[in-house]
This record gives sequence, structure tokens and C-alpha cells, in this order.
Amino acid sequence: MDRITLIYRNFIRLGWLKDIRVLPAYVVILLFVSACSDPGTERPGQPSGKQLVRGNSTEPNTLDPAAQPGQGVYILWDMYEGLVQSGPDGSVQPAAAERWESEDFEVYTFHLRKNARWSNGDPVTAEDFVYSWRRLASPESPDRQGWFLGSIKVKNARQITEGKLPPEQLGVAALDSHTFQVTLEQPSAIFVDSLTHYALLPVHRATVEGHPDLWTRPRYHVSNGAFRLEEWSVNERVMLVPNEHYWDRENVHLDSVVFLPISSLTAEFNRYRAGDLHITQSIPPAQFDRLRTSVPAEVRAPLVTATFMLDFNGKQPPLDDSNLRKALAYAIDRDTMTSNVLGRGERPAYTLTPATMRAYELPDSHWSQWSQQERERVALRLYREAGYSIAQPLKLEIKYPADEAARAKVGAIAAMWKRVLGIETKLTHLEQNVLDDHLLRSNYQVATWNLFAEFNEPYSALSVMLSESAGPVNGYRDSNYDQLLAQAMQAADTTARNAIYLQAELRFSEDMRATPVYQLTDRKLVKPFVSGYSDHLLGFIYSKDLSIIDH
Amino acid sequence: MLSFILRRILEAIPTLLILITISFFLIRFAPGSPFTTERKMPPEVLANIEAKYGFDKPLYEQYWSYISGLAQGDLGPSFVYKDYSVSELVATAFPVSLKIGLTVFVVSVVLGVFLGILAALYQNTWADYTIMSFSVAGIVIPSYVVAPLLILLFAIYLKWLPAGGWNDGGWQYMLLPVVAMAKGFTGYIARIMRGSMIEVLNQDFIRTARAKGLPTRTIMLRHALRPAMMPLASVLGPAMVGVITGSVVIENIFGIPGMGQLFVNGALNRDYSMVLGLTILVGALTIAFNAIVDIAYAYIDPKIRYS
Repeated sequence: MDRITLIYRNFIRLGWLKDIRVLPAYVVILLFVSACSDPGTERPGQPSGKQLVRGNSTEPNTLDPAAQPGQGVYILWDMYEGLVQSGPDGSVQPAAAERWESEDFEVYTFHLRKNARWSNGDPVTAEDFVYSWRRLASPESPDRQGWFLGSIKVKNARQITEGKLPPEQLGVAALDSHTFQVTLEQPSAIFVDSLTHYALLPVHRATVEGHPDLWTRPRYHVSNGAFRLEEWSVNERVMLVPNEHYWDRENVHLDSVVFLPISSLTAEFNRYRAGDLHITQSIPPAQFDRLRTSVPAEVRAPLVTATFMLDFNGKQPPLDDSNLRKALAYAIDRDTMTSNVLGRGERPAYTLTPATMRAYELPDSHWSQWSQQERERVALRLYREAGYSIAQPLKLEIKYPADEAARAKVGAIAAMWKRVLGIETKLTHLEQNVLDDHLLRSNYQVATWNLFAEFNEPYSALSVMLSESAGPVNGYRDSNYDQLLAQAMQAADTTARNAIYLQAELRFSEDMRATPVYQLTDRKLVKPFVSGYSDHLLGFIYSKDLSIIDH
Repeated sequence: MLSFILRRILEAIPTLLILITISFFLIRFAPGSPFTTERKMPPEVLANIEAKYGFDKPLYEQYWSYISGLAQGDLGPSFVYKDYSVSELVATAFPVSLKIGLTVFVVSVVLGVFLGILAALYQNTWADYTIMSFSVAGIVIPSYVVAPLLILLFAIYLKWLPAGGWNDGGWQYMLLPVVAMAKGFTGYIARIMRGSMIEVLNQDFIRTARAKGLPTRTIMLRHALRPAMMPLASVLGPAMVGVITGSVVIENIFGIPGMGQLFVNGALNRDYSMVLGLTILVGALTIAFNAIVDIAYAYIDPKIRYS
């Protein structure tokens, strides 16, 4: 019934349609008015007062934090507040939980803020988190990210997502209304770091259960973050206004935040130039250099915890030979790639863990410490040992997503392979969805993808190559590697943990099913009158930290 | 006439069914699925998701359940916009495209017909050459070139109009997209109109009218306009469907929440039910407008009668 009324409403909003006969007159008047009207000083479309407008690249798939939200994460971080949040340097800060403790790293107790409120005034309780996490794990909704709970070792999460245990068995409990307890399957010293993930944000039980299909609509939506949902017009905008019941309301300075889903970088840039937009999602590659010299203060391009990867399909010849894979990895001149091909602040990458997150030194024997000449010499030796030469070159195919920027990158890689080893590379560009499908089915020789670390721990990046994770597409399954990561998770001492991460990195680089090429930057334009903006290691930007100063 | 309309409706059903069947299998055979994402998911999770939406069943079974859902008016859930159903999304996006499309249509037809007649009347004079030059320019310069230039001029330098957005279709927001979309369409109509008008003006009955001493205005409006409109009528039906179902390029550049965006996102993300829903809508509209054109012919052209 609700849905029907909603559709009906949308139709009557176009009241003029009823008078279709007057349309020609309407058009003539429209043209006349537009021709005569005085341009004036107040231009339409310009945000007013303390409204912040942010670019959001595409329409969010959903505003349910538990489901795969695609490009909706910024909106989720503004609307909901998890147990903890992430500071600009990636450190964990208290949010809905004001403190927490654990004696054995297996049972964690979180003490929630007594004054935290949902946007309808209800208190935020431990029960809310119990409900939200159970809902996330529930096998009824496999398109939610229940697997994330399993990957961070919450007790029974894996069996629950697989349908072998009921959600009530999940290792979460409300000790009292403001004490939330999590029990893990094994001790994990990095558990709290992983809690910044958006899937773990809480939802309001009464709303979700009361309106199962409509609870993410502005009319019903209830959230516990600094903002609440005011308007959602698909493919046009999502508008948030401050949550009047938010515990830190006095420090929220904006009147509203608007997210515009603009997929075209040029269109977004135009809106920014026209003043309709304050923070962009990205910068058109062709404009980057010019903007960096003309408006350096507005250009942001910090390194983020994401790595551009070349994946080698080790399941089939010729790339089932680890020495040949190494030759390919070594022959890429990453300095040339980052400074000449890309040149937007990217950094050469030699490990799965982004360099900005790594807190350990790589040994001198590791290939990252060699000079490029040395790498190329070894590459050529390994290539020849594998039975290839200039007379008998290796023929390869790289599959990559169909966009201009990607073409330049893989073209450069192919040229480097040609120069150093004489490899003949065929470049095949595919629509992203098709490429993902080919990757999933191991239907490729070499393919590109981006590795995102989702929380501030090397574990987040390294876990991608676990046997239970996506590693199997390239054939990487190594029980020693799995074991190392399990140990790292349990190591309470940071130095000891980092030593294990290093071993895992070294182990993976001996196999080289995939090679990191460079660390990505998160490029944005930010208007000078947006105050409180700071670059974030993981790319988290919370609107509650921002304000608009008079300009 | 009534039996003609009835026959057209009955004919439309098998046509639509064939369209749905072809589209259903085509999109299913395209590689990828709505659930393949760049974020690497464990394969078991993906298998669970596919099972939930019945993608693990044989294709003919899925086809059957889609058709039976459709018979009850259910276009299914959207896989990309998970919080909405396809019907809901279309119900919000279609009025937007319709509003822009109708405006473009009316502007182009009025302006195009007028300019076409003018060019025909003053054939091979400076007026004709000017109108035709602009028409050709309007047709050949693509809208993805004109639209950014319009934005650059009117939004960024002059600051008269917004650089994009919709805002419930305020006229400032509609002006640039309508101009960008209408320029080619207007040129196209003007050219057709000029050609057919010149042809009509050389006919014997016009010569007779002139010989009888009728004023040019009467000749044009009473005698020449109707037959000259005929070639145009057959073009306008499909063209109408084209403009009201949204322009991918224009909607993308101006950030308009219309059907074009749904098309692109649906196709790129393999949103099966969305693609099918839109195909059905466009198919049905095409059939309907072709029928309307045929009926209109009966009124315009005395030689055509449906009995």
C-alpha cells in the first residue's frame, strides 16, 4: 500500500501534466521569461548558508550499512555512528562507545555513551548493536556483508552466515543497556581497529522491522550519527540535516549536507567551478596539473590505503611458474610509472600493505630494496631460465577496465615488459563488470584490480590473499600464509605483530601471484571556505568535522 | 477505426512478448552479473546471493517466473538500487524525462516547422541558406560538445544559470538541457519540412490556387501545410519516444535524474530487471506512438482510410 501511494505521489508532483493542452503556451512563456529575466545577483543552484555540497560519483546502491553500499559510504559515515571512528591518521577514536576493554583479546567489552540518541530521540543501547550485528550475520540476506564479521573472527559468525547456526548464537551480548560485549573465536589484538568498517554501523530495530522495505526512505529513516536523512532523490541528490538528538550536536556546524551523484568527472568539475559543489569526489586527470599550479590550495591528493595490482593467473601455464611471475613483477619500473605516467602523487608499491600503513622495515634482500637495473637484470635471467628469449618471446594478454586512465597505465607496463624482456603483450579492455566476471572465473592471464585496505591494519590488506578470501582466483592458497596471518591477529605486541606481517609479505612475494604496482591517491578539490577538512589515511571524510566559513 | 485500434493493440502483445524474450536472454548471456563487484568477495558468498535471487535455477524457470511476475504487473526488484523496486524507479524517473522530452518536442516541432516553411518559401535566398546552415550545424555538432560549452558560458562565466541539477524541474534547470537536446531535433525537422514543402509548392493544386489569386498565407495554411506535414508525421512518432525516454548524454552532463541514467547504470551493472523493465516501457511506447502516427495519417491524408 505504502509503495503505491509513493508512486502516486511522484506522479501528482507533476501537476502541470494534467493541462497538457497548454504546453505550447507554457513553452513560449518559458522562453520569453528566460530571455527577459534579469540575471541578477542570486544565481540559482548555488548552495546557501551553511549547506555543504559534496560530490559522490554515483548513486548509492543502498543506505543500509549492512548491504554492499557501493559509493554510499560517505553518506553512511555521516548518518550512522559505530562503536568507534577513524581519526585522520587512521587511529581509532571513541564514537558511540566512550571506552572499551579486553583482558585476553578474546572478549571485548564496550561501554556506550549514556547520552547517545537516535534521531527520533530513542537512546542508543547495547541491544541496538546486538540486533544490528545479528542482522548483518543472518543468512537470510546474503547480499549483506555478513562475511566481514567472520573475517574479523566474531564467534560463530561464519557458521551463521552459512546457515549452520541461528543468528542468536553470534558472539555478541548486551550485558546491560549500555554495555556491549563481543566474544571472538580466537584472540585478536586488531579487533578494535577493524570496527571502523561501515558494515558494523548500527540500525534502529523498530524502524527496520516496522518498515522492512521502506526504512531507508527519508520518511521513516532513523539514524544515530551526526546527521539524519532528509531527502533522497535517486540519481539527483541525497540531503542530510543534523540529528537534533545527537550527543555532540553542539559541535555539528553545518545546516545540511548534500551529496550529488555525478558520475562524469567533467560534469562534477563544472559544478565545482560554478560554485554548486564544495568537495568533489575526484579530479579529471587532464585538469590535474593545471589545477595544481593555478589553485594549489584547493587540490588535495593524499596517498590512501589502496594499491593498484597486477594479478597473474597461476592456475594455468605459462604463468604457473613463480620465477616467470617474478620476472614480470621485477621488470616494471615503478618510479617511471608514478612520476612520468601518472604523476599525481602516487607512490611505487612493492608490498600488499600500503607503504603509509607499514610500520616495519623490509630487509635489504627484498626486491624492493634493489636498484631498478638490478631488478631488470634478475628479471631477464629468470625470464631466460623459464625458456623464453628475444627469438622466442612470451606472449601475454592483460585485461583491464575500459577507461582512458587505465589504458595509459597498462600500456606503460606492456612497454616496460617489451623493453626489458621482449614480451609481446596484447591489451584487452573490458567493461568493469565483465572484467570482474573474468577474474572470478580465473579467465585471464594478467588482470588489473585495486586492493583496498578497509581498516588501518596491514591485516586488512594482507587478508585479501587468504585461502578463504579472493586469493583462489589466481590460485594462491598457502596454509603457511594463512597461519602467519592468524598468528599476527593474536599477537598483542605491535612489534611482534609487525614482524609476522613482514614474514607474510616475504612469503607472498616468493610466490608473486599478484604484484603491487603503486599506491593510489585520493584526489579531491576542496573549496577554501570549507574549514576542518583534513586528508585521511583511509579516505574517511566525516561531514561533522567540517564547517563553512564566511566567504 | 475502432477495429483498427483494437487490432493494433492485439498485435502489440506478441510483439512485446518477443521483445521481452529476446531481451531477457540477451542480457542473461552477457558476461557478469549484478553481484560481481570490484570488492573481492568470497565465492561462497556470491553463490549464496545468486541462490537468493533464484539465479541458480535453470534459465527457462527464471524466464517463466519473470513472465508470470510481469503478468501481475511486477517488474521485480532493482539489483543496483537495492532500496527500490524497478516500478518505483521508473515512476520517479519517467516523469522527469517526459517533462524535458515534451518541452524539447514542442520547441523543436514549433520552431522546426516554422523555420522549414520559411526556408521553403524563400528558397535559395540568404534566409534559406542561413536557416539551413544552422540546421545542419545543429544536427552535426553532437550534444556532448554543445552542452559543456553552454555550461561554460552560461553557468561558469556569465553565472546566469546553474551548471546542472534538476530541482523538481525549475525552468532555470531545464533551459540548458532543453536547448542542448532540441538543437539537433529542430534542425532535423526544419530540413524535412523544407524538403516536403518545396515538393508540395510545386504541385498542380498549389499552382491552381495561385492562379485563382489566393493570398500566399491562405495557400500555405489551408492547402500546403497539411500535405507537407505528412513525411514529418511518420518521423515524429519514433522521435517522440526517443526524446521522452531520456538522453543518456544530456542527463549525465547536467545531472538530471531521468531514464537515461537508469538505462546506463542498469546496463553497466547488469541490473537485469531494470534493463528489462525499461525495454518493455520503450517497446510499448514505440508501438503506441507508431499506432498514433498511423491514426493521425488517416486524418492528414485523405487517401488513407482504415476500415
